[in-house]
Amino acid sequence: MFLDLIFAFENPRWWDYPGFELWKFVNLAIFVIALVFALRRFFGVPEMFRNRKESIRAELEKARTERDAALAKLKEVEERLASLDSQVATIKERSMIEAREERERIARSTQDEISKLTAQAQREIENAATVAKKDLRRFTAEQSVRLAEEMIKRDIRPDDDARLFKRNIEEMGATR
Amino acid sequence: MQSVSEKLREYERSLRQARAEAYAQAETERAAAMKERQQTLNEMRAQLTQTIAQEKKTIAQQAGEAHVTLEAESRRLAREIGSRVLSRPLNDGEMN
Repeated sequence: MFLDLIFAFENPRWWDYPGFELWKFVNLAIFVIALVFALRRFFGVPEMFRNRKESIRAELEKARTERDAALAKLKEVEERLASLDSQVATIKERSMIEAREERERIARSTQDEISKLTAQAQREIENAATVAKKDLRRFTAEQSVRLAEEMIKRDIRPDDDARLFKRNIEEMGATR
Repeated sequence: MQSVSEKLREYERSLRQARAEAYAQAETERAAAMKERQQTLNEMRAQLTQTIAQEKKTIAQQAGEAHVTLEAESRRLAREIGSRVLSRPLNDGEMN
């Protein structure tokens, strides 16, 4: 078999060996060159590949950005979760402070209301006392005048009457 | 991302729950404080009403006692008025 191969190489020329003819390689080379030329010239393959490359790069960049954003978000959420207990404690503490302030405000309001009610009661008592004093003064004045009138009617004598009449006349003259 | 969303939801749910509990607690305390305020004011009003009634009663009693004193004072003033009008002393007779 090895001898057959040696003899087969001896007869044909090296560029025309059956199965390995040179013209076939030349044809193939021409075809490949023409194909490459046609693809470059008419179909814009390099541009297409370049665009595709850019597209893939952009997608990779976008994916990287999204991954970074997701990681940042995860980190932020984990930080928030880590501080959840302290935040809950802060909310409770703030609520307690606000409740205490509200209780104090209500207590102050109650004291103000009590002060108003006390002052109002005091005024009512003072008014009652004033009215009572006024009534007593009026009673004293009316009673004194009424008794004086009765005494004068009872005790007046004719000479008193004449003297009063004369005095009234004199006072009228002096007035004129 | 799903894990992040779940964690975020859990975080927000916990915060909402904490806020709701705090609000409920504050509201309960506020209601208790308002009830206590109303009770205090009602007691104070009742006490003041009683005080006012007592004081008015005392004033009326004192006015009644003063009436007796002023009755005598009225007689004295009436004699003085009559004396001045008639320019002489009046008899001290019994009057109504």
